[in-house]
Amino acid sequence: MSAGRGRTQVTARALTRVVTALAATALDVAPSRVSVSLSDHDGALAVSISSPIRVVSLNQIGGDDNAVLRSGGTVLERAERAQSVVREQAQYLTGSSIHSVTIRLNGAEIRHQERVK
Amino acid sequence: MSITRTTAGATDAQSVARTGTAAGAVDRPGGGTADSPAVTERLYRRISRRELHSPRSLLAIVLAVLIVLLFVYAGVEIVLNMLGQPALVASPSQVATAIGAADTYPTGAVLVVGSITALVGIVLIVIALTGGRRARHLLVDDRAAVVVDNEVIASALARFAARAADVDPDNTSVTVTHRRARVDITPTSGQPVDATAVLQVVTTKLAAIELRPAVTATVHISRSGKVGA
Repeated sequence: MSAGRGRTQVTARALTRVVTALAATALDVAPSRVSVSLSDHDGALAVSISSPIRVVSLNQIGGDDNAVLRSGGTVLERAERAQSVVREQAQYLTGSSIHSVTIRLNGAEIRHQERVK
Repeated sequence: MSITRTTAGATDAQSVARTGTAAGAVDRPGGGTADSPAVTERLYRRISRRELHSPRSLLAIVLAVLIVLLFVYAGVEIVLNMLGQPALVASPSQVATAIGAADTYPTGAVLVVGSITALVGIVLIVIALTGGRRARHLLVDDRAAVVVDNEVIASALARFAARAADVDPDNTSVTVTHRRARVDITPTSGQPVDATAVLQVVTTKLAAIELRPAVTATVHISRSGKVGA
């Protein structure tokens, strides 16, 4: 009990920004397209992310069997991976225990994979 | 840390605020007439009691006046009856027969009047038997009679509890009653609070300020937290 030690408060806004950045990186989209809402579940954080995901274009998949694999797997696999990344990183960065991370994909951003010239 | 205490002034019951570290200024009771320790202690005990309990004098005076008026009226009726004068309302014998004939009155009226009378009686008995405690505690101090409001104890405890739990003081609430202090903490989401650590800090603080009667603390951590608090 050191006197005048003070207290660090991490606001909901700061937590939201951290999770937004993590989710944007994990789903490979711009942070401005990710919306995050935080709630409480029995004293732990419940994170809910609503975001589009970047996918390869259908044209490329048609011509290349490994296009999906190269882009990191199916959409579900990548969302699942993003979920665990967000959970671990957010827990590590904010020091808060996280109960659940819910990802709701609300769109797809299509990327053309350019051949290296 | 400076808990603002309220001391019961010795000569008058006026409350004087001073900080816990104030030096000198021994409260001298009765303008120097009570110098022996035993007398001083008795005086302090009386003052403390006065400060800790709400006075029943108003109720006692009102009741005494009512009873005096009742007896004055009864006396007047008796005298008038003895002088053979007409009664003001009813002569003593009329009153006696009216009371005796109570079983002939409508049941509802008798029941209502009886219930109200019983209720008033019960209320008076309860008031008489309960102490009429004020929300205050006595602080053990050998120089002065120190009386603290429960709110002051509560806010002091809340500050320490909030620091021990590492939550915002706004999310800590403490209720102090006669023998109990209940600490309610709403944790920050994702930051579990150690209830036993908080309880230990609060108990240590309570032991340090030595209240009379002693107060036992309980800590309740709310199940759901608050995001980003």
